[in-house]
This record gives sequence, C-alpha cells and structure tokens, in this order.
Amino acid sequence: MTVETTTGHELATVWTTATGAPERLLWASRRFVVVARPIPWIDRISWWEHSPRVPAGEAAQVLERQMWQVQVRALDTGELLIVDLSVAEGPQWPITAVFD
Amino acid sequence: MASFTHLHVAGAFSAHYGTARPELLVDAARDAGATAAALTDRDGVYGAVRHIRACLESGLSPIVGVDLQVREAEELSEVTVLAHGQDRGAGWASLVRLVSAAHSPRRRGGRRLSGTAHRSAWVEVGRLEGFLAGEEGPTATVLLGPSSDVGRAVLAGERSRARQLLQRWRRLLPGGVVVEVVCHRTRPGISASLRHAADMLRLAVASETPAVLTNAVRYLTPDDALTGDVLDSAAHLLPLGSFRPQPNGQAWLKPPEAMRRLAHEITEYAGLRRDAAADLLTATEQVADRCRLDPVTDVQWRRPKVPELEVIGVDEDPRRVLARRCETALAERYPDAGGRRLTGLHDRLDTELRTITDFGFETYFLAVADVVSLIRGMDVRVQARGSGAGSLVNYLLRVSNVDPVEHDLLFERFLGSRRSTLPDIDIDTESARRHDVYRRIFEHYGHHRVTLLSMQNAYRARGAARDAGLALGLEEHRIDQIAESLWRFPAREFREVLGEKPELRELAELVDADPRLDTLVDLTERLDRLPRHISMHPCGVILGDSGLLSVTPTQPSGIGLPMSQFDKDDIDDMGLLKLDVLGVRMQSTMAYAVGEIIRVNGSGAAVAGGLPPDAPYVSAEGRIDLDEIPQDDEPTFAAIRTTHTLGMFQIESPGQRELIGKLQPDRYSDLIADISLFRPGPMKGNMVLPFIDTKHGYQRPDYLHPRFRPFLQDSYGVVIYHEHVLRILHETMGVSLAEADEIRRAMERDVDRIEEAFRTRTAARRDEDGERLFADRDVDRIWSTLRGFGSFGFCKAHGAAFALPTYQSSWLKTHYPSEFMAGIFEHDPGMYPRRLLMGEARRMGISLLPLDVNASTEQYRVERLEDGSKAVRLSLRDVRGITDAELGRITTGAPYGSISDFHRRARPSRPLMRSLAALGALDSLAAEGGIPAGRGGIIAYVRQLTAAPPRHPVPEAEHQPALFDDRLLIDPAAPEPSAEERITTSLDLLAAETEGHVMDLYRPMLRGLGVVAAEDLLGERNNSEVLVAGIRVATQTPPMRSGRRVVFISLDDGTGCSDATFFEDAQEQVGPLLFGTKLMIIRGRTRRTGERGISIQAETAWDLREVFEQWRADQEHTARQAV
Repeated sequence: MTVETTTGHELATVWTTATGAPERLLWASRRFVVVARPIPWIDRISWWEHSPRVPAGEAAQVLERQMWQVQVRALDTGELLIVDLSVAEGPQWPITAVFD
Repeated sequence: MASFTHLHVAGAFSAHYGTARPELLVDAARDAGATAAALTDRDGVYGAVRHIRACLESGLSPIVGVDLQVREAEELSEVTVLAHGQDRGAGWASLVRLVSAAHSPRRRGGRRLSGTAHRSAWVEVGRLEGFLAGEEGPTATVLLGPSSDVGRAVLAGERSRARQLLQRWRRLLPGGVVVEVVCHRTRPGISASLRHAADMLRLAVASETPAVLTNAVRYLTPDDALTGDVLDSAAHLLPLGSFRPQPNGQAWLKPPEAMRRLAHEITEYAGLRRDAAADLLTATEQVADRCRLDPVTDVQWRRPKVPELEVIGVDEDPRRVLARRCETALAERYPDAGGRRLTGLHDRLDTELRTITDFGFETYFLAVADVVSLIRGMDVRVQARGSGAGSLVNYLLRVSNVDPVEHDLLFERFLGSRRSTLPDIDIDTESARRHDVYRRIFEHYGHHRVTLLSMQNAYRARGAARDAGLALGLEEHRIDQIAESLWRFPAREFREVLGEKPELRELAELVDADPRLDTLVDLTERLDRLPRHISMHPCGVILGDSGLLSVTPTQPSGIGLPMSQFDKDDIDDMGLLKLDVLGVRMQSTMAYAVGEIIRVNGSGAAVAGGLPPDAPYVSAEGRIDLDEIPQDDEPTFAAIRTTHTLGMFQIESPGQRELIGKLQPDRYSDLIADISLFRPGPMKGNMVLPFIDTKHGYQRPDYLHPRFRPFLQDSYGVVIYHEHVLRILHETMGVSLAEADEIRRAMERDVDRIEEAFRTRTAARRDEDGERLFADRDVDRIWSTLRGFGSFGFCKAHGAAFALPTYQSSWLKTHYPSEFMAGIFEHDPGMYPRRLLMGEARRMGISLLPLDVNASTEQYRVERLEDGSKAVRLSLRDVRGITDAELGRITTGAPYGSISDFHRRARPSRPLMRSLAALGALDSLAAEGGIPAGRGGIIAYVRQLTAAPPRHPVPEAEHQPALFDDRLLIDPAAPEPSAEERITTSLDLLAAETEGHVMDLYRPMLRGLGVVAAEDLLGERNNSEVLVAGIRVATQTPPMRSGRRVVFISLDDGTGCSDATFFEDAQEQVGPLLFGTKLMIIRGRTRRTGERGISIQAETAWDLREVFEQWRADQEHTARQAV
C-alpha cells in the first residue's frame, strides 16, 4: 500500500449522509462515491507550529481534528481509492492522505 | 444509569505522563456515578495512597494497579496489573513486591537512554507467576492491552501468534488474565484504532478469554491532552515535532455513556452480536469487583507498623522498659535536683509516660532513642529538632539535648491528647556522614525493615518554563534568558505576574513581540506543580517491621539504597514510622572544628580557647563536648552582639544581622526569642518591637496579669510562643494543657469562635475564697492579646532546639576562630559564597595561607605559624576541574622537590597543571633559598612543560632525583601577571580571591564617585544619602509585617557587607537589575537600626560594570583631551 500525503491540502467537495458521514465527493473535477462503511477517526494537529494561545481549560479544540477514512470509487474509471478526509465547516474538506 | 469503572488510569504521579491528580480523577469518577475507581500509575504506585484516601472520602472502593513493562526474549511490552482485593492483603503485597522487582538494580549492560520516555523498570514475563500466583488462585489480574505482546501481534495481523501468546499468558496465570480493549479512534490500522480494538475483542471471544474495556486514561479532560504533549516532549528531551507524538487527545476519563457507545461501536465493527458489548461491559465490572481493595484489611490503613521489640533491644513490656530508662536518666540529667524540684520532675515524667502509653507509642520512643544512640555510637553529632524538644522523655532518652524544664517547654504542644498518628521526632546529624548513618540504620535493623522515604519534585516556574521552551523548540539561550529571569512565584500565575513585577518588564515586552513566547507562558502555567520526578527525600527514613516490603514498593535512590515509592504525605496513612534524619552542614562544620581543635592544640585546647584549664567539657586530650558547654558564656554573647555573625548558624542573614543588632541578646532565652521572632508570623504579629523595647528598658514589662508573670519572664512579657498561649489558656479557662493545645489549634483556624467560651470560663474562675481570679477588665485585655496573637506565634520547643547549634557555632567562632573558620570553609554550611566567609576570616585577623602543592591537602586545615598564631591553609579541593584521583595523587606524593618532580609524580592534567601555576600553588617549588621565583616565569615554564607531546610512560621510580634543576629553566624576566589578572584568575579557578578582592579593580572609580565602604557605614549619620558598591552575596525576600514584597540585597566590597532594602518603588526603578546583576552600585539612604545596625534603604541601583565602562571611556576621553 502506498501512501501519498498531501501537504497542501487538496480540497474535495463532500456530500454527507444525515449523520454526517461522507457519501459522495467531487475531487479534481472527478466524481467519486463511497463504497464501504466510512470509518470515523481522530487525527492530531501539530499545534506548536503556529504558536496558538493555549490557556489551561480552553484548548480542547487545538489538538484534534475529526477525520473520515473512506473507500471511494471513481465514477469515470472505476478506480478504487482509500481517502482520508478532514471534516470542515462547509462542503469543502481537505484530503489529507490517499491510499491506492 | 449504569456506571462504568475505568480500570486503566494513570495519574499525575506517573511523571512526564499523567496530567491529573488522583484526587481529581476520583472526584470525576464519583460524579460519573462509579462505585469504584482505579489508579494504575506507570512503573509504580506513586499516587496510590492519595488515591485510596480520596476514594475513602468519596465512598468509593479503591482499585490499585500498575502499568508495567514486561520482557521476554529481550523484547519489552506493556501490561497493566491490578491487585485483587479482600484477600487479606495478598493482592496488595504481590503488587508491591512485583513493582519493587521491576525496579531492582540488577540491570547492567545495554545503553541507557536518557529521558523518562525510556522506562527503566521492567520484569521478566516468566517471573510474574512467582509474584501473582497465590495459593488460592491469582492475587492480581493482568490486562493485556494494545501495547502488550498480544496486542502488538494482533496489530501486525499475526493472528495465530497472538493466539499462542495469549494461551501462554493464560497458562502462566490461570484465571488472572484478561484482554484489554482500547479504542482511541486513532488512524485506522494503528494501535488503539477502532480496527485494532475490534480485532482484540474478536481474539478474546474466539479464545474464550474475558475482555474488558478501558480507555488507557492519562488525563482528566480533553483539554489536558495538550499538557500531555508537553510532558511527552519533556520525557523524550526533544522538541515537539522531532519525535512521534501521541496520536490524538482521546485518552481522557470519558463518561460512562461515551464508553458504552465505544463498546457498541467496537462490537459492531468486529461483526459480533449486540450482546458482546454488554458482555464486555459486564466483564469490566466483574474485574473491578475482584480488585476492590478494603483499605483496612488489604492495606492495613493507618495501622502503625513499628519494628519488633527484640530488634530495638527490648525484651520485656516496653512500658516498663521506657519508664525504667527514664527514671535512671533522671538522676543523671538532674544530679542536683531534690525536694520539690525532684517531685515536680517526677510528676512531669509520669504525665508524659501516661500519655505515651495511652497512645501505645512507647515502642516508637524506644525506637527513636535506639536510632539516636546508634548514631552517637558512630561518633557522629546528633541532635533532636522540632517540637520533640518539648518532651522530658526525649531529654532523658538523650534524643534531645535541650532541657525542657529549664526552658519551660511543654510536652502537650508536642503530643496532645487527640493525636492519632505518630508524632514527628526530627534528628539533625552531620551532613557529611548522613549516608553512613543511613547505611548503618539499614545494616542494624535489616534491609527488610528499612527504606528511605522519597519525595515528589514538582514543576516550579523555572523548570516549567524550561520544559515548555524545549517543547516549543526555542533556542537554548532564549530559554536560559527566560528561566533566569523567573524568581519565586507559582508558575500558574506567570501571565499575571508578567504584568506586575518590575524585574519581568523586559520579558513582558518579549512576550508581546513573539507569539511563541505567548504560547510558552500558557504552557508554563499548565505544567505548574505537576510531579516531574521522584527522588530521595532529604532526610526521611522509614523504619518498619519485617513485613515492610509487602507494604511499600521500593526502587533504588541516587545513593544506591532503596527508597519507598511513597512520600511524606503518604506514610501516616500507611502507618509507617518515619524518622527525619537530616544532614546539617553546620553539624559537620562543628564536628570538623572540634577535630581541628584537638589536632592543633591537643591538651592545650582549653587554654588556647581562653577557657579555664579545668573546664569540665574539655577532655584531657583536648576534646570538647559541645553539648555540655555552659549556655551563659558572656564572650559568646558579646561576639554575637557585634553583629559580625557571618558563619554563626541561622543568625548570619542580613535580616537576622539587623535583628541581632536591635535585640542585642545576652542570654540563651534571647537567642530562642531571636530565632522565633524571625518568622513570618511574629513579624506580621508585631511582636518584635515590644520585645526589644522592654528588653532595653524603654518600657516596663506588661505581664497582662500577675499570674502570668512567671512564664512570661523569658520574653519580657510579650506573648510569643505557643507555650505561652497554652499556659494562659490553662490559667484563665482552667483547662488542662492538652486541652489548651486543642483550643490553640482551633484559634489558628478561627479565633472568634473561641471568644465566648473563653470569656465565660475565665469569668467563672475563682480562688479558694470564692473571689474572681480575673476581673472583666482583665478578661478584655487578655482576650485582645490572644486575639492579636492569632496564628502568629511560634513553638518555643522548635526555637529552643534551633538555638542550640546557633549558640554552639557562635561559641566556637568566639573561642576557636581559626578552627571554626576552617570548618566553615570545609563544609560550606551557610547561605553565602565561601569567598565572603574568607573575607570575614581576614577581617577577624586570620591569615589564609595560599595554595601550595606541598602544604595544601584535600581539606582546609589550621596551620600554626612561626609566631605561634594560627592560619588556615586553602584546600586543593576547590580548584576548578580537579578530580578525586588527582587530589589523591597530589597529597600522597607530597612533598615535591621541584616543578618537574611534581609534574612527573602527581600527573595532573594539563589544564590543572596550568591552573595550579596560575594560582601560585607551585611557587614554593620554584623558590630558591626562600626567595620566590616570579609567577610569570613559573607560568611560562609550566606552559612549556605541558606543551610537550605526551611521552611514552616512564617507569615510575620513587624519589627519582631530578636530572637537572628546573629552577634554571624559569625565566626571571617573564612578565608578571598584574594584580587584576591575579584576582580574575583566582576568582575563575577557585571561585574565591586568594590575593586581593574582586572590587580592587574598581577602587579608583569608586573613590572618585565617593562610594562608602561597608566598614565605614556605621560612621554615617542616619538618613544620609550614600552610594555603596560590591559583589552580590545574598538576595532575599524575607517575611515582612506588611505582607508586601521587600527585596534585601547584600553586597560585599572587601571590607564587609552592606545590606540594602528595596521597597516597591525602588524595585520598580531597578527593574531587571534586581535579580540579574552580580556587581552593583546602590544609591540610598542610611537607616540606623539600633546599636550596631545600619542598612540602606535603596532608591536606585546600577550595574557596576556598565558604570565602569562609562567611567573608563570618560577617563580615556579626558586623558586624550589633556594630551
């Protein structure tokens, strides 16, 4: 399994289910559908790289980010990929890793 | 709501790992509805006692375990071991012994990696059985979690291997192994991910092994995870980003619903039936139930565990033994007592013995006496400290050497009637012999009965800022700069004080400018008070019975002897007897001085000290028994009154010198008062002024009531001591002294609650004729005094015990100045740098003889000069960089005939050889017919000698004659080092001046500026403006009446000390210089403080070096203009 981690955070447009799990995405002008049960997981952030204020009791959100690992199939080629998505406010979610 | 018991929880005492105090974890468990709470610290049970105590307070069952590394075939993995409960301590004992075994010092070989992330404790898997397999089944349950060998095999997808490993564990410990399922929702496929958890659960189900759910907790709330990152950095000694950090922040104490949700998610992901989740949760509670400890039957909570009688040499009823020993000693301690005095002594003894036996403490007193006599038998000075001095029994057992009757010290203050734990009896001994004493105690009572106490070192501001800086990857010099500027405040108030303290002004500006420093401030506050490492307590020794090692785990201390994993706050509840055996440098100093007195004076010692030739406390050989010297020696008090008290125990600080100057003590009880008054309480309570005014006759003593007169004599009527309050309450309220001590303690908490009882009972007191003893007016006056006393007083027994070494050291300095100062240099007991004490010796007229490889040794020795006077020879030991081996070779090889002879036989390293030349230690080897060669020539010659390439080792021939005289090779024309160079060299290499004084360099400028010398200050009028200068020798923020911060800075200018006081305005003026500058000029106004006292109220200060640069530039400018 090869891993390709994008540092520049490519964005995908994500459509979610009622419970917030990814269902379909549009990424680099290609369309993908989620084909297996998505796995929620929690990643960490290298918070020290941007010198945030972290007073005791007020930094619960600084360290973590919500992630989904999903298996997707490209609608054009039928290619299967595993993609890590970082949950964002709107529909534009960063893709942090791609496994093929 | 069903509860959930977290079985795997590391608290803050898992150093550099856990972030939450056990008490907070227990509170959270209770609030979440749990009926039991577990603590499983890493590598030990460091937080267990606090945990059990908190559980008892919250009505929860405590569960205790350990997170431990186990080793098999050189591979380390991790398991959690939980002690079973309600098995009469079998589970606890096996846990404790297992932990000790994991720390056993047998380890050798292999590279030890630094940083706590590389854990040094582990135990072989094969040995677990021996600890945990009891006769009636296992005494503990082993949790095999994600980091166990099983967990790792599962993660690697090695299913059959995982199954084999698990089977092996189950065969090893039948009925004592469960699979621990942990899901931290990490990246799929890594440890503690959902998949990993599900695979673990599947393995458990398939192999029919019970599985429990835990959250492998290391913090209380999600917010703490960030603190965890910083601790991980400290544990790796690496900045964040340069090691693999924790995968996320999920290891917090999650509420029951969250844990239940996790259970369902895991079972669902594992494809198991729904009831598998219920099974998982049920099994978790079943294991919890099995591990509920009963503090009383399992841990012997609070039950005293004292040594067996035969071990302390008692072979019959200890009560009888104690009583008999005291009776016998009474006649020795009070040979002249008779009549009423003797009856009084007997009465007091009976009362004390009754109290002691009522508590069942007689064995404890005998044990302490046994230890003291063991130490005395080693010919080591030993002395009781603290309120134990208030006990006649202690005085009779020779545990204490202060007569409690003479000083009116009260037993009731030491041991009241309501105590439930063993009282503290603290013992001071010689610092240099402390480890010998410890070893002797181990040897005498047996290694299975004795262990050292440990202490938890917590983060304070500096350490916290350093580790926060490390975590953020700040440059080292920046970290240093920040850490150095922090000065005694709680780290949690960092941001607050940043805006307040003048000396932090520059730092505050930096923080504003650099967001990284802003983060650092937050991180520093987070680390505050977290335990960072465990170390040997400075004085605690635990003495128990033969079962001690089943009560407390031990691990090697810094000196090799084992130390308990419990600290001073734990041992009362564990029923452990702690002896405080403190190494005191002054005791070593005095022992050394006594040794020098015999060596130098022999049988002439008494006369040499200006003592009567038949002084009973000086033996025929010249050995002085310091504990027997008379306590009314006027020359000693006269010397103290001069305020030249440097070197005298506890009365040498600037504040004390000022107080001594005002107080002018002339009797032992004045010294007790002096030491007692120099405390925050008495300072705040304003007891000093009335004491001094009455002592000097400016006002008449006010005894409040005629009945108080006898016991207020020692303080001229001022109520200072706890003992005074006890006596007053006893007289007024008619309560016993023991009850009076209870009331006194209650007064410390809330004085006004006592008022009504006090007034009623005092008003009701009547004499035999039925007259009131205290009129209403008296009651008012007494109450207002008591109320003002509040919590300010001091225990006189403490003061009396403290005053003894003060008096003894003062006596030695007075009668044997050279021998005493040699002891001071040798053991460096005080608060000042040695170089200041050397200045004091010069002031006293004691010559300091220069370093000389033919005369100096590894000690500071007294030498008799040709004119019969005495001098102190400097020791080679303090030459920078000298090793013990070099020291040994130099001293055993002496005398040397020449420099090359010395170089050949003593084999000093090249830098040491050059240092010795620069310091003049080789001068005598180059002298010819008493005429010294030039220092410059010697330095040049040695440089030549040591520049030669290393020769092949020449076979060593003793006293091989030099082939030629190297005196011929010394160039007499080589330039001599200047006075400045010599001073700089000696400060640099010896941290002291041997020739001249550091301030000599600045004298011309100081004269020009009109700076006043310290020795001339007393000649200045009060309130005149002066400049003083010098090298800083002390900085203190002592207790002040107002409660405001005041900074005392003492400067040494070679003629003595000038002491300056900086109040808030001046602190504001001086800013960062306040704590950061070594050489200073201070401007201020003189303030006379009594007969011999003068200090300076500072207005502002400068960095002397900066002023000097400026002055020199000006000088050059003027010189150029003049040309």
